[in-house]
Amino acid sequence: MARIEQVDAYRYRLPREEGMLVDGMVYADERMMRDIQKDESLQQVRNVAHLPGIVRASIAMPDIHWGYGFPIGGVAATDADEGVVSPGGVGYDINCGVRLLRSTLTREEIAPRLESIVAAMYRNVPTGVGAHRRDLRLTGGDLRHVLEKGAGWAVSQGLGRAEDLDTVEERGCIAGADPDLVSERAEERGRTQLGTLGSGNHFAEMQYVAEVYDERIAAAFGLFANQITVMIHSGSRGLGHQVCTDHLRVMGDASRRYGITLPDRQLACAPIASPEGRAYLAAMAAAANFAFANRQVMAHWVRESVAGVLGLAPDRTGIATVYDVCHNIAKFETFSVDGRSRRLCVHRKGATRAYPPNHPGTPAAYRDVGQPVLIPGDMGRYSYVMAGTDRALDETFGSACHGAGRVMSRGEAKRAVKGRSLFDEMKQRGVHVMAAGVATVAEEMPEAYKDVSDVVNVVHGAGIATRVAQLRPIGVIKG
Amino acid sequence: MSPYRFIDHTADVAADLTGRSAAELFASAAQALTDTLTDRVRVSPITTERVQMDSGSLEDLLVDWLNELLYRFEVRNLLVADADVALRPDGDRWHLDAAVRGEPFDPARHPIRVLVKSATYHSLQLVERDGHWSATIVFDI
Repeated sequence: MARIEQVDAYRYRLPREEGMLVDGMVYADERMMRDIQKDESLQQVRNVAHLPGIVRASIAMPDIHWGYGFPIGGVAATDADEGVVSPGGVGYDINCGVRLLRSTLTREEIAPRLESIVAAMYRNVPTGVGAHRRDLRLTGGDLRHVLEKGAGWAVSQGLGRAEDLDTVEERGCIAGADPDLVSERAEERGRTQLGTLGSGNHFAEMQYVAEVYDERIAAAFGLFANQITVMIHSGSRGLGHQVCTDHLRVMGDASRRYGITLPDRQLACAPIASPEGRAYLAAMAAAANFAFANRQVMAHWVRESVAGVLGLAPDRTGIATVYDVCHNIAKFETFSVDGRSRRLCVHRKGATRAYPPNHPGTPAAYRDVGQPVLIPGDMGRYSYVMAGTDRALDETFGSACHGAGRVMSRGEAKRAVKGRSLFDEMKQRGVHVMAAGVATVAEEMPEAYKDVSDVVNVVHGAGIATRVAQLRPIGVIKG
Repeated sequence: MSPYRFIDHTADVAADLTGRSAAELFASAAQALTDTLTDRVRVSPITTERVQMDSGSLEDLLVDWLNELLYRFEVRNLLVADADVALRPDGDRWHLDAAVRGEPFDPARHPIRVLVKSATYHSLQLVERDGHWSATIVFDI
């Protein structure tokens, strides 16, 4: 029986066992830990500790659940020179992430027009299969620029403002992207999907600030009680899925060729310095840039939707980007490890960056308070904004949790919803929902998810991010 | 007996596949994919396309096959009603040659259940017992 040692109220260590190069470290409380042990996710944390070049620990956030090879909610940093990169540590939806927009509008101001605004968002932001706007057609040359420049490409096309980029992780563009390493198939899947939400758990949600826990940090983020915010959760769409698929095939052979033995073939990896490793990282960066551009374009259309319904010039809505964070990514970042500065490849699979105050990677506007950490919950209850801390930088490679995680399978959710009108129920809870697929709404019903406040409590209690504000949904569009 | 059966999976979609041969199991897998995307009984076998591919193992070939159909759905709008699959070993590889019957996706007649990102290798193993083939495939959605 594999050992689990409790370190404190919010930390559990999985001591090194045969084949593990480092310990596992799980952020959870006692009750969560009992749930976590019901599936294979702790074994997955141990398996990740086998990756060559892994530094410090294989880390799991409190929203951890069973994934493909890597657990969802996992963080693993490998040495940039001697370590490996693993597409499984990023996942199929490369740079799936969250953007939060603030406004100068209050809940009361938009209440009479809420349904019209949600309808406008639903019209303007394509959701579901095959949907895309005819006014955004990418030629081969355009797509290449999207992959190279990310969100900056969208801004250069008038789809957003230059200031938007100031508060996007990596300013919306990961260095080293090479469009030539993105397959023709991936490009074909992506060409009509820029500026589309997708389906499953992706959404765009109108919210209001229900609680402010830390006035100083909230003020720095431009957040205040009763303010209208919009959260967008989406990723790199079919283009990113295809990049992952393409490279997973190559990596399986590469692992064998480089003599890397792994407990799960889905951890397939290659040395960062190898041709396979470099090719994956360059293609992954291109897909990540597509995702940054995707969220930038949708944010612009949300701004236009709100402005259009209220009869305001888009700038007069005060809609600005609080932050945009990746939660499926592998990136080179520098950390102090055992007193030595080291360049590492940080895999965040269902985990977000959470940089502290005064870090060069934290946007200048937030230098005194730390980087915003965006944690979506379910569509009926709430989401949270937190801020990164020094402790995260010291322990988790500047990372925190990314969401709630499911408790019900999609089948269970559908059975639980049978005979109920979820749209009406959501309306009674004060949430106006529009969706392309009725089944999606059933599968995504609030009870299908864990209470995200439990996850936030652990992260706050452990000190790897600070609770700043709670956001409650009032309008949701989904695929 | 249905050639595929969806099983509960917390985050994604998983299906148990069966067939009297590996080729039949591959055809079942194609139908399970369509049934994940939309209501399969509403998809008619109107057009026929040919798919040919090869991979290093039957498991890899199954994942490649499903990802090929997913690509044809996303890029060429093809929904698969059924498939006639032939498999043969080719040196140390497996070769697939299939006729795929289906029709173009029509949002009015084919309500989408969920989009699939990819077929995965998760716990994937093709098992043959007494002339009966089975496997569990997990779709990342």
